[in-house]
Amino acid sequence: MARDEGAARGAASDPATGRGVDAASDDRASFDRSVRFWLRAYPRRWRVARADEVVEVLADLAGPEARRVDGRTAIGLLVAGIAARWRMRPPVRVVARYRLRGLRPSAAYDAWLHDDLDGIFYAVRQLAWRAPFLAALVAITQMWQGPPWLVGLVAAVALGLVSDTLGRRRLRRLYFHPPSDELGHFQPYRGLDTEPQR
Amino acid sequence: MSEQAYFVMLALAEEPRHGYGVVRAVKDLSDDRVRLGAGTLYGILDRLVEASFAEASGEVVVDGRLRRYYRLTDEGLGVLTAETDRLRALARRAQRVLGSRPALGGA
Repeated sequence: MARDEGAARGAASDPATGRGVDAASDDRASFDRSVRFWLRAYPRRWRVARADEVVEVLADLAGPEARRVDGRTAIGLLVAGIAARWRMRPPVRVVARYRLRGLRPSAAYDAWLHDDLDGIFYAVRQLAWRAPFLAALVAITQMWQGPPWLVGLVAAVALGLVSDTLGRRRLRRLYFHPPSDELGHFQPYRGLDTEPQR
Repeated sequence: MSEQAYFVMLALAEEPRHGYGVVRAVKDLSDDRVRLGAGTLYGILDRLVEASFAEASGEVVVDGRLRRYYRLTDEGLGVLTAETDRLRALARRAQRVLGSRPALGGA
């Protein structure tokens, strides 16, 4: 929209810079895109809350003719964004249980959970947590010089045993304490202020 | 508390400021020695807000540009005052140590 407004004003020039309004508008749009690209280092919920504000601060710092953030600022945003991701994530123990066993983190981490499930790299994050276990399994089968079918059988049984053992608690919760919005069956109402019948 | 965080709190103690205002105030207060980048500034602001030492006090939109102002809370002012007292005591001790040294160039 800023670009359309600039076009409507034609060849007008900015008295501060002496440059055409069109050029200044293009510079600004380009600068905004550059900032927002580097802001992707921050968690999604942080960007929703802060991105507009940070774009303005960086635009003020860079001056009117900047078309992209400089290298030092970009690295600063990258480092600060990764630090923010680390600071805003649940404890590693909670993440491990969520990634490896599918246990839901507590409601205190719902914002993080939304970001994780909505993020385009969800599958990559899941795989990254499981990859070390798969790699260890492959390494064990490579080291053991037995017949291939026996190695495969033992690996499958071991994997099944570990998976079922770890998944037991989740099944117990699912079967006996299923998540539900319903309050359940109501018992008859009994007033507390009535005299007992004699 | 880091020196940068101290300067940010000092800038907010003067008056509510937006991000760019904080950067300029820190530059002035530090005699042009501390130049905050946006990443560092918002890392510090995040931590101050999380610790309830600072809070967003309002927003102004000028020419479609958002400026969010931050101010120090009473708790933050207390922490800043305590840190300033600590620095003052440190400076006094440092001056005592330096004052007790024999004059250089006498040997």
